[in-house]
Amino acid sequence: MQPDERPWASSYAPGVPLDIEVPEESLVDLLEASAERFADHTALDFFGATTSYAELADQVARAAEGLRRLGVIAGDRVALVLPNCPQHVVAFYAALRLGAVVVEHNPLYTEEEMTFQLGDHRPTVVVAWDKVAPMVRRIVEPLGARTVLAVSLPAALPRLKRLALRLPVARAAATRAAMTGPAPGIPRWEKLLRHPAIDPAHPRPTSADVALLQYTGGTTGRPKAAVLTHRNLRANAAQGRAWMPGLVDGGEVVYAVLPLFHAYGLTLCLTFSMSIGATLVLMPRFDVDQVLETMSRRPATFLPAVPPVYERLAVAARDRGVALSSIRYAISGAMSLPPDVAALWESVAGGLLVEGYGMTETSPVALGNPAGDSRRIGSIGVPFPSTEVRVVDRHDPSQDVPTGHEGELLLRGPQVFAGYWERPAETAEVVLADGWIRTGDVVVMSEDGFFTIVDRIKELIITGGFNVYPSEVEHALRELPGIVDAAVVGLASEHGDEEVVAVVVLAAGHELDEDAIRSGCREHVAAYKVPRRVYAVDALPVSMIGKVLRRQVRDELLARLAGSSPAT
Amino acid sequence: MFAEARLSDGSRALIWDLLPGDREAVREGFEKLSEETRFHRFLAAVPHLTETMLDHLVDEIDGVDHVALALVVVDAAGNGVPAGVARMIRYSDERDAADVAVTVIDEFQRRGVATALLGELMRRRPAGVTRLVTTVTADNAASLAMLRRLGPTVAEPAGPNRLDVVVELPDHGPDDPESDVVAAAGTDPEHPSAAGDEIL
Repeated sequence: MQPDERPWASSYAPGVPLDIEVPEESLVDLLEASAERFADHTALDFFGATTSYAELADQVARAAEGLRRLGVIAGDRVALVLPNCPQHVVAFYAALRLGAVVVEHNPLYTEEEMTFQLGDHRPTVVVAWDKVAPMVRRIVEPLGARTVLAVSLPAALPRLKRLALRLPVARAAATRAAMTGPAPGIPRWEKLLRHPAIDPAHPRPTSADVALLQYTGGTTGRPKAAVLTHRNLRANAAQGRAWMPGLVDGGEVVYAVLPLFHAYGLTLCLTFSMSIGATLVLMPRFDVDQVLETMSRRPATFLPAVPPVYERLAVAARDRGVALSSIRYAISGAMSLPPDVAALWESVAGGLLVEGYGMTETSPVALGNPAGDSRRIGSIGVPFPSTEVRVVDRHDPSQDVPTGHEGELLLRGPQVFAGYWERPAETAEVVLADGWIRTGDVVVMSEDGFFTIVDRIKELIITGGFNVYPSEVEHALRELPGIVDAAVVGLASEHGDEEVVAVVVLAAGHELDEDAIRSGCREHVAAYKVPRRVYAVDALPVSMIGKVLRRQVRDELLARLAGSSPAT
Repeated sequence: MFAEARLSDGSRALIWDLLPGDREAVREGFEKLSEETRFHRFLAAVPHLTETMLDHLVDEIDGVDHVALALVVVDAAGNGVPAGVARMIRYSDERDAADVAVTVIDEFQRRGVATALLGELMRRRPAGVTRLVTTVTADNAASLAMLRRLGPTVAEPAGPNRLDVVVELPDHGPDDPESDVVAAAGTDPEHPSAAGDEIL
């Protein structure tokens, strides 16, 4: 697309280029460049324990040597099953240094979910939070994985905090139990750092090599892994940098409240932040008190998050009189940003809250609102630099629709992935000729190039920024005793979020027990996928041929909730 | 009473009516389907067929308003191996319209099984049916293509990843050999179905 075909060009914030030159370097080069440029600058802050860029690069080099001695070679998968912690950053770059492929996993996944994903990519080494390391070892030993390494969060804490966790008081014991667990017989990650640094002559990855497998849900219930190269991820970090010319290299403080195992948190925190020499303040989970406490110690300047986080933070800061004015950039993604949340945040913090758009398959950011006055509430913004877009007929992607008409959004650019891991059929459904990919989102482009999502083609529920595929939850429900049939739908909840809601058909003689259903479901799927509400019906609406009519399920449920239909 | 068919890989197949005695075979066949195939068939994650579903899918076949056919591939030793099922059910409130479903066990997909079944189903369709009205997943392009080859087709979005599809069938009656539009399109081994075998 030529510059004159990009109607959004005039809406770009001052100084933002229409195109960028993608650095032809790997993510390893990215980190080493920052380590050279900002050697003494604090790279990581974990509850006050700091790691400089030079120390980070040194730890990465040692861990890479440790992984090499464990037999990891280029192309091997190294699975990370970790919350946000310094070891996560080190393990990520150490695996990449060897040319290995990082695979991120949510440590709160159930054994069933983890078994599928680990079996799908067959890792050589797994670096796992010690609380889940025994489960991970149980899964991967039969798969032939060489080693599971256990990571202790307390090991990364400042010494005093670590000692405090050992105090014989209930609160210390509870905190300790939340942070760490026994992993008998599993080698500790920290031992890897005792190795010398890897030989600088050891082969390095190139920008074309695969860096990451990132799992994303599937319509039929089984997740698939998006294959992202160093170039994809490096490009997205560079696009982000170009988007915000006002950022100060070496001068930003980024709060990592988003999980690093999620595509959004990974790019904003693990690669983009490292590329600008920022200080990354790592938080294992979003805790309002911890964030506000940290604001007084090391104020954030940049906060990537999801709307519920901004809302809770703004309310708490306002109530307690904590200033958020240091946060110059607040980038919201993973779900739509409700206007009232944007207004609340901006009234409390003073800075702008702007919405971006992306998907795992685009590393992830593809569109964003300009970080300036031209940002438009309710819109996902305009295409990032070097990102091409088309709006096409939702049934025939070869046909572009006129400006102002609804159509499926197609994307192409250096951040766009090449396909799914070992899934040619699913890749073919998404990746079109000439590198265009289908987003599954129906949009309208305005005359001046701003995009608004108006519909979703994918069967997807977005809750708290996480994607939930109904089939996966339905599968779990149908396996529970007393449930004959189940359908899962997303219902709008507060502030633009969606709620996972189940409609079930009970076997004869069974009563609806929501708690039992939820706890049964929790054994199969992660907590955020578990239905918040469960309703019983006599039968699901099915077509004559037996197909479940999910839209009708949703319509009937909405009618029932509105009181226009008697409850069963 | 069966029809013979030749699949796109040249293998022989027999198609005959599904009967109440086939209940266990249907149950077992379903267990062999991949999650994706099950999903495309029922538009939901269905781990197993329930007794209620089997009642409907097997016991309620009447050969008049509810026609169901099974295809068996004949192997080199002359043994029959079940490969797929196709069915058509007339709408009670719209006598000229019917819903349709074709299911092929994964290991037999892309060999023309669905095309052969659908061709026979068109010949055996309930008298007076001139339209197919069904719902498919929007990402199931091959199935949509197969439906389109049956006649003029309209597809409308019906919620996330769903399309409501209406196909106007050719004017001639089901007993007319010229109505064999699907067989003509796909069972010739020299011209295997472009749509392959997908699930409706």
